[in-house]
Amino acid sequence: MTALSIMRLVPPPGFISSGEIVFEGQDLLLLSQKALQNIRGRMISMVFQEPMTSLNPVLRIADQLCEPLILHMNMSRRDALEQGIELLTNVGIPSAGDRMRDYPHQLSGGMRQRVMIAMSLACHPSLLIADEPTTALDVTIQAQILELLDARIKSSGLSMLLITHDLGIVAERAGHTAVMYAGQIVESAPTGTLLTAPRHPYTQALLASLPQYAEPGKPLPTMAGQLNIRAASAGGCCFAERCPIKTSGCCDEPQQLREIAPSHLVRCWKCS
Amino acid sequence: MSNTHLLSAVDLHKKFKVSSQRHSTRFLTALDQVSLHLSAGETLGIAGESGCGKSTLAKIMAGLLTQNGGNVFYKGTLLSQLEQKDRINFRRKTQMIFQDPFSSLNPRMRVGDSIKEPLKIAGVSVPLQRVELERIMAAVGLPGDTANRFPDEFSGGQRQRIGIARALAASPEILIADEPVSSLDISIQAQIINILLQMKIDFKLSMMIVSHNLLILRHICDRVIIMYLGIIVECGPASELFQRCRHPYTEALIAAIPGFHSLSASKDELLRDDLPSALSIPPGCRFHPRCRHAVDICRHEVPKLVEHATGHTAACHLSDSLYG
Repeated sequence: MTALSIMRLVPPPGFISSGEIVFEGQDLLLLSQKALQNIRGRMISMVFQEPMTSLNPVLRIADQLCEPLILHMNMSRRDALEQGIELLTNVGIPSAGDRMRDYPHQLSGGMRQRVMIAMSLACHPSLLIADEPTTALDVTIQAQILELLDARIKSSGLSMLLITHDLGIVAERAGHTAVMYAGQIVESAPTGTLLTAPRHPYTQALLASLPQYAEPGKPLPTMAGQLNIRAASAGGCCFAERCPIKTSGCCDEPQQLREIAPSHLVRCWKCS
Repeated sequence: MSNTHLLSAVDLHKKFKVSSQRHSTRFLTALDQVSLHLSAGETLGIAGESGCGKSTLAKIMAGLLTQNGGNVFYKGTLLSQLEQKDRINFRRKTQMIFQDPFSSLNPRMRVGDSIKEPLKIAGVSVPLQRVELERIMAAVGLPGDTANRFPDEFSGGQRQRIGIARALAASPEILIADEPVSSLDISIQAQIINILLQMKIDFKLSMMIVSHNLLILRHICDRVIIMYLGIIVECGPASELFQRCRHPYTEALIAAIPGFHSLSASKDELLRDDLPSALSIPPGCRFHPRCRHAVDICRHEVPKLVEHATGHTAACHLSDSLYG
């Protein structure tokens, strides 16, 4: 939802009630729809979780891939097609010329996600929002896609906002990580710090429940209960209900994000 | 066939008919010469990429699909030759948990009724059914007062608990779980893994767990089988497989686990390309087009599963020279 907000794509009846989204110095919330269209897809682009549902099933790859080029870069169709083939080749799709004539269902999941990435990088955006880009894919394909994104980030100075539930991916790819719980950022720190010295009890519990750190066959430490949005927004700390170190003071007022070390923010009054 | 194995399969072969545009029927080979066994009290993991045949294998082992060739033995008896009575018994003793807890529960049945269904079929008296229901729901951590609710009132993790409860109601010996945690959040995933571990002890279960998540298999399984395009490429004790794998495919799978690189060498091991289509299986070793070690023999000759250490087999021509 944070990602959708940045793109101002929050589905109704939801809306952005307050705050600002500053991108390269301008508040995106103050822009008109028309001005936004220049930003979406061109300056900020997005890759979604499920490449089958985010590609149009009745349009050929060529048509979908060339659309941003024609609209944003004012290319002619012929130039766009040529550019499209190059884009597909760059994301590692073999015989790209033939693939351009295919429909999405003719491609595998990994290939579809490559097409999505090619499309999102078509106009050289400065920010790429990747929402669970590999969740629907096999580990082997996931590694290929993440490698590809990494290479593009390094070569073109692109920034990426990566949304994932897989802490392994975070460990491997992210420079700075924010952990969210019930609509709030509960901890935000450089990835190395976050993974080795987490301070918020939620981050700690999350890391403890991963099988990679546990001894095989032993029960994994788990969090009690489950995310309850209503209880979490009732006032007091959003994690209080499930928190192992909760005391009576926790339920009184909402917690604030505090900086406990340079660029290490925690939403828990017990951490200092 | 040895009698000690609870469930075993010899040379399983499974083909699916695929209709093509030109009216000629083609066949997709889902399983080819797959042999495996599950001993009493053991947890066996099956891993591989999507489309490698692991779910097909699970369904055949559970008796939900029939194979085109080869045999499945239950306690040494051929599954297809079981008497009607024994066949019912086999079905009761072999239960399955499915991947998607949203589509595997009947949305119009109260969950209590869903869980009680196997008991009803087993002819358990109504009062006893109620007692059993409470016991099983408590065992998987479902509040007893939720039995009258419908599946849509539950979260994904709770639905998976219902799925497990329903499987346990028949007091099975064998539990076959097809991707039991892959649709769940990490924190919920840990809870379900713990339930499976606990159930294994409490109900003396033998389990077969299909998953593409190797870390989960390493955590809960005694032995792990790695499949590739319908064949077994490696099989060994879980701990050994992770420390000393003997097949380049297993190595690549381990290297691809995000954040797990401490155990593997480098990114060179990452696989290129997609899994080839099961409609056009490469000759020789099936893995050779994606294998960075492939030599001439790999392109022509199909490697056999060879035992390299006790209980550790791998199908690779180069296994000895690569892994010593």
